[in-house]
Amino acid sequence: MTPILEAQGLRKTFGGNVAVADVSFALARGGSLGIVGESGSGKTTTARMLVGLEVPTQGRILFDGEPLERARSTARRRERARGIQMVFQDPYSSLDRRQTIASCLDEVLRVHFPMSAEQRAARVSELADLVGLDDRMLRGRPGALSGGQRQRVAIARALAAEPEVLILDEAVAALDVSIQAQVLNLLADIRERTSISYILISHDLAVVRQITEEAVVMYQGAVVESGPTAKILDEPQHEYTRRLRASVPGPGWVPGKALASGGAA
Amino acid sequence: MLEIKNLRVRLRVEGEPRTVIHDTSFTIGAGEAFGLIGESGSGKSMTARAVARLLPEGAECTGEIAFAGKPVLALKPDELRRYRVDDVAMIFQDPRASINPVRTVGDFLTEAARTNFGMRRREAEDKAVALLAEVGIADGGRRLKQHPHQLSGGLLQRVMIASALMGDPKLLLADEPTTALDVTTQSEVMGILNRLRAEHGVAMLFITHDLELAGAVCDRIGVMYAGSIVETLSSDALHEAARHPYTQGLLTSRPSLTATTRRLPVIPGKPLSAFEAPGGCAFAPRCAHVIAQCRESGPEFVDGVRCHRVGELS
Repeated sequence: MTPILEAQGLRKTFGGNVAVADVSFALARGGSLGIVGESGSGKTTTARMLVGLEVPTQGRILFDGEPLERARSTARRRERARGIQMVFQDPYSSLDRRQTIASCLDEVLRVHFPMSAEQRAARVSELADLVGLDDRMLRGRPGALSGGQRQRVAIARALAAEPEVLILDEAVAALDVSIQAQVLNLLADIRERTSISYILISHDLAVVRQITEEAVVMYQGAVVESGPTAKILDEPQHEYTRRLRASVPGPGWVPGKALASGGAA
Repeated sequence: MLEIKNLRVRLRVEGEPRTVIHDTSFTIGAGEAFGLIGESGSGKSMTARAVARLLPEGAECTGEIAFAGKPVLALKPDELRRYRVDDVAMIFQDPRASINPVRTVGDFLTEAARTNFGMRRREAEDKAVALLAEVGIADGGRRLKQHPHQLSGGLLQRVMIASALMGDPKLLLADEPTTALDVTTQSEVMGILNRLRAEHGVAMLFITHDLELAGAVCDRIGVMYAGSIVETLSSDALHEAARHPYTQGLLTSRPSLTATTRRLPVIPGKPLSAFEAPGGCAFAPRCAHVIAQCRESGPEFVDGVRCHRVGELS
């Protein structure tokens, strides 16, 4: 089956700096792919190219088998925007503080679908239901919500467009442990109920293991290892993946032990 | 060495008094590392700030904080200054926010030693270079002339550790010192912090939201919820012997690095701050084992745990 999203030899340079050197991967329809890396690995630039916020210097992106070129018409741009949605890391800066939650969701429906006001209102409560927001929250503004609730709104807003692919850029990284678990379960539930596919950008290997089946590990702009997530974490092949794996605290962990090679600049 | 008894802190927020630390007691022995863990609003950072007497203006602080027998809350201005010079040092989460960007690293590292101990610049710089070497920065002499923006976050946090050790403190207050760093850098910085602390015999109050990290680097752990410590335990016992339902919940709700479950066991609801918590046990609204008694009266902290039902549950 054609992958829903495919990156072929993506490269992005800013002036003389290479942010992404060479990235290729394929996301299966209904699948979930993790892009793992630390700061400077190029994972966020890759995500931004996938949603069209950056134009690749080289390489191409296939969405459902079709190349995503620079959308020339508004209609094309809108179609692309609908199909691939993104949830950002910071739930505090990604919502308009003057807009009620209901109006924020309604706006997405108005842009993408020819629906009546009643139909939109019904869909807004459906979406709120899916991510666990109640009526009182819908009527409120972001200021009245906690970080976890805002991230649910951001997920609902992304889902409102009925995307085929949801890109989660460190979307649970800023959440408290107990809230993070709730949002991770929510993401698993949504994938079970819809045919959506995920790309999860994360530095947190445990989170990647929990919600992805496939993963690519990026280091300094390039993919250094890729394959089934469980295999990458259980038997890391690349030296960097091993170092990353050994840096995660857990029972019996000794800090600095992974220091053996490399090290900070 | 550090003894905190029934600490209670109230801040003025928009004119309203708000309790941020409800009732916190713990001790840290000489050279010991104590980890204080909790979610946002639990009061862990405020506890560290209370120990350094760095609470925001208008804060009301009751209870006792004793450092080597000295009543910290009652120190006079000159005594407080000596306490901060000789006894405690602090490292924060964001090194870039706690260093002056227009001064050199050398100025930053040596200023306190020159002002407080009357060290000559040369002498202070030698000490700084030696400490930089200890935190794994070999070319210290060159680094002293650099400005903060020329250093990566990991390097800058190592400079912070060196700076904290310049005054030979007895207690280090480390507030999420590695949270803003990459995981591989975190591992390096924690390794350095751990080794230096042991070599210099410095005790540490380590604040983090990461239970596993605290377990790996601390001797004992205190778990905070809504402004109170709900459990203290030895790090070795963290996984096997956690008794409070909140500690257990935190341990099981983190996804695992070695296994995948279809759904994570979650703690419902959101973490509360002390001023939002209902009467009775603050954790009751989120607890799976709640009974009527939990809502009626707040449990006492007995034998390392604050829970009415601990006898039946563990």
